[in-house]
Amino acid sequence: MRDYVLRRLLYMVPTIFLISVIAFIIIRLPPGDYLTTVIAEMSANGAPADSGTIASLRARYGLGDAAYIQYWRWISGIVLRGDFGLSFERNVPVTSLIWGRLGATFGISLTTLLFIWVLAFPIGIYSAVRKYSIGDYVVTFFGFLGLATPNFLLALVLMYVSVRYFGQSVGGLVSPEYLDQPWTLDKFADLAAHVWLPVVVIGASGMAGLIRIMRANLLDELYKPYVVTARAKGMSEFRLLLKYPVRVALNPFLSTVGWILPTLVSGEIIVSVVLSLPTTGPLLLRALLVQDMYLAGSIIMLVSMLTVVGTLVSDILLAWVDPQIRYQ
Amino acid sequence: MPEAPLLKVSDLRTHFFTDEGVVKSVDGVDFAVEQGRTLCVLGESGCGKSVTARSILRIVDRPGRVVSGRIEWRRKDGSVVDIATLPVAGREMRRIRGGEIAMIFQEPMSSLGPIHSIGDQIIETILLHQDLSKSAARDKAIQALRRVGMPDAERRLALYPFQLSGGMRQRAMIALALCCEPRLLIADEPTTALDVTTQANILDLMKGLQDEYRMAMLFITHDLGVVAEIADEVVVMYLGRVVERGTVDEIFHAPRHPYTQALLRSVPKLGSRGENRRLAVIRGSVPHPFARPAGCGFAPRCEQAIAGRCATIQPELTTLADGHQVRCLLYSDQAA
Amino acid sequence: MSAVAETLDAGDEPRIVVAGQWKLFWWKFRKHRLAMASLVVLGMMYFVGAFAEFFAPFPVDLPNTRYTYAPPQMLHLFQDGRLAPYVNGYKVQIDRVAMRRTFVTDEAVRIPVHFFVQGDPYLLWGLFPMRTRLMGVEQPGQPLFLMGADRLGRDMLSRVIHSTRISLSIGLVGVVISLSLGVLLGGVSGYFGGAVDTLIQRLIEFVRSVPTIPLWMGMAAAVPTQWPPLRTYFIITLIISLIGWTSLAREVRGKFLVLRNEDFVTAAQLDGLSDLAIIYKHMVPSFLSHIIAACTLAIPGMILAETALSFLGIGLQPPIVSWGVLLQEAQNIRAVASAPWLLFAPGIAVVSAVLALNFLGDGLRDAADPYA
Repeated sequence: MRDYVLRRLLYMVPTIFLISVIAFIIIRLPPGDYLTTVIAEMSANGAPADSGTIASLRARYGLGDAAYIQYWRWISGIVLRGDFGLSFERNVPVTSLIWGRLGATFGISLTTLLFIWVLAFPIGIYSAVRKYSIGDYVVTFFGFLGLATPNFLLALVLMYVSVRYFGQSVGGLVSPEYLDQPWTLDKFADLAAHVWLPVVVIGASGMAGLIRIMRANLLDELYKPYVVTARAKGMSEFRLLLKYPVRVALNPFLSTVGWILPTLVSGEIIVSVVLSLPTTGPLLLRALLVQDMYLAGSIIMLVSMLTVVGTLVSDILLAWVDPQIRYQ
Repeated sequence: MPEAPLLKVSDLRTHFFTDEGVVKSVDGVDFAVEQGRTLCVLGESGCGKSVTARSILRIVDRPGRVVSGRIEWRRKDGSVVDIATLPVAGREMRRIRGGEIAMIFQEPMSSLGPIHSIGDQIIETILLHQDLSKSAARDKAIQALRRVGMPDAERRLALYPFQLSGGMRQRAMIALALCCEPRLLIADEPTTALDVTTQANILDLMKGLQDEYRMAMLFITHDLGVVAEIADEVVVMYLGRVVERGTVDEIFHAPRHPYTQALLRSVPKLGSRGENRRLAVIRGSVPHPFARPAGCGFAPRCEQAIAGRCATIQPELTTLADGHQVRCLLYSDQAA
Repeated sequence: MSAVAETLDAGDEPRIVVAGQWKLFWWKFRKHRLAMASLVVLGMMYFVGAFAEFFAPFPVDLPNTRYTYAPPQMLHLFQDGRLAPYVNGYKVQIDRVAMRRTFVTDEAVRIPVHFFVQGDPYLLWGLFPMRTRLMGVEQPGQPLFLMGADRLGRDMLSRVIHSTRISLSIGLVGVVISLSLGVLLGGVSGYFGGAVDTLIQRLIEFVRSVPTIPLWMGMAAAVPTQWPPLRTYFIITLIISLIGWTSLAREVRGKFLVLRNEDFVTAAQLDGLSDLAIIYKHMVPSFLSHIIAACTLAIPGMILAETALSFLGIGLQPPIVSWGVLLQEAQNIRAVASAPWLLFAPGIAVVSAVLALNFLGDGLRDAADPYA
């Protein structure tokens, strides 16, 4: 078990390095750089920047150096001083903008993860045990629909329904009157009243996938000899089902976290743009559109890294639950 | 009045209702098991012997169903209950399963739950059927493991099936079956998946335990060697029907049904070297379940088939003068 | 029962024994009714997309300022008992409170609709000059909005038909690129094994462990908006494929690993065939059907990715229209509230294409194991 954890931690080092390289490449990807945008804006405002100003700006941001030097300066700043660079657009450190929003992104993603696990689990069991029943067909139908509907489309449709039939717009995580208030029980209740919509929207396709996985896994297990043994012992069907086949099907079900968490974080980012939630999604999109690249790169890097770490933590927890891995 | 047999199965029929049609896996099976005796059900794969065993515990998987017949079980107090009429998932049926009739299976590798320790699985069974405290159940489980010859039972209680060898797993399986002291043990080819040495060990163990617990055994096998070793009485099945029924001596020394005779001829005998170099084989193969012959199931492969009669007439189980039973026109014609 | 037995014993078995791989594939696939229906639906969608200029009643960007946000019309086929298709005109009502124009159907005005009508000249695929369209009105400027009109009075039906070409073809082109990458890396990984395999597997795991949308966004945002449409189209497709290749690579690798130890591959090796010859002559044909199924199941992901990026405004840009570009215009929820066809016309197109591709892929995958 300890070897397993160590091995997984070791594997993570190149992963994180690769993520940082990709984030840096993305930062440098746009033709020109932030300065080009600034210069273009200055000329548009009728005050073209002189070459001296440009040169000093260039030196200040170190934009003239070779790529690996820039990478080193950037990454060492992050690792040693927690300095993610400056948001060009707002002229404030990136760190001051992103932590709260990262928290919101992961808060919503993890809530969604729990939500879809909790729902997909019993529905998948039902669907497998009552294979080819009407209920199973209904579940399968909605499952396919969920897989085929992009989550931002679902968000738009729900917003349309809400505006059209309930005369109110949805969006945000708390009502406007709570925006700058400290956390109270009321504010929390208000948050809960808002958060279900993004959770449902982000979770829909993942849940459809999980139900199919649970159903297939359980169908694989339901007719195995050990189930017959348990039945021959005189256990009641319900207890037997939960203790043996469901328990066995649970492990591959839970290990879906490896791909489901990245998908949920992806979904969270795009759905947040539609529902204008105060998470990393709208911030990232805005940063990319104005080529505020240090902000965009930092968001991409941190979101990716936290996803990898989250997956790792849950993998280790799951390995700890599974005796076959624990004793290897 | 002599005591009723422990288990009496009459005219049992279990059919599978599939999309392609009805498969009559068990289609008229009669036998009885006496207390403390061993009945072997012998037959090729696909003849319905496993389904028969599962029908007795009513654990046939869907789309299979016991459609008719009686499964009379004599309970401890002497009352007789027809298992075939009990609700499949009812309390009474569950009390019989594992408590009064226990079963062990062919695949020791996959017949134990993979993610619970064997101790957990045995203790669970004890608690299901006996009103004991957890620690008393644990002691009982250790005892059960010791009885099946598992060394270091106390420590092995905590092991998972994947940590045990095949033979040890089958021992654990037997301990699991016997932990509640059942009066009948159904063993569905318990030694088929094991190597020969382990097979012999397990068979010896089961015989010993049978004497110790004074329980009856219903032993399902396709292996004539196992039959010779363990059986008191033998039932031969073919295509879902009992074709012959008698004591082990009668079956081996005076087989009546052409199928049983052919089966015995297909086994090599020690000391018969030279006279008969090639082993006899039964020609043809077991018919497809949907393409069942109209008359006797064995007629197309039978060397003594009576032209025009065996292919059309369904023979009845005939009791001969010595109490031996056989389902064949050769004998029912004589009797009539 | 004897009839069943006959087909099983006398009919099917010899047939199965002699039938070739593709015949078995087809027999098995044919039984999958949902997949067959999806195949028909997709065939129609691809056909309409391929001949978008012909099927669309109007050019993609033709505005009609008199009819901004006009609601969908009903196409009436019969008039006084004979076949004479027409649509009703609109009456404009001014809502004085909301200061808004609203359209109502004017039963009195009947605008004839003609099939195979000669209209403004256009170039099919930008190459062949043609004038014939599937349907159209007599005079230019007359309204024919079967799926409603957008904020500039452009016909949504025409826009959806033109988008179909772009969105569906992105799926195909993307899968071709992904497949090349997947077959190359997956094949190398599975065939050689060892350190190469480990390295490529780590790479695949890496790509799969990272959320894709932010990566896509980062890369797509770097595409300059002033690039010509065709170049944007290909670069966006490339970006989508760069992340989508992993599942195909896994599939290929898995098959390679199984096949590498098969006797017929060993036999070919002993015959002295080169690695490449073995891969192309012996291994690829034996898992081609699986690859086709995996590709079909990969297309929806590509389509959804393009839709998402274009929806965010960093994928394809007007004047190219794709379902995502159309959906981007549906972002304004106030506009959608009064003109829901802006959302539902492209939305239903996306969902039905993805659904059909999933069903088709499932059917193909089942059929790829003909003996199962």
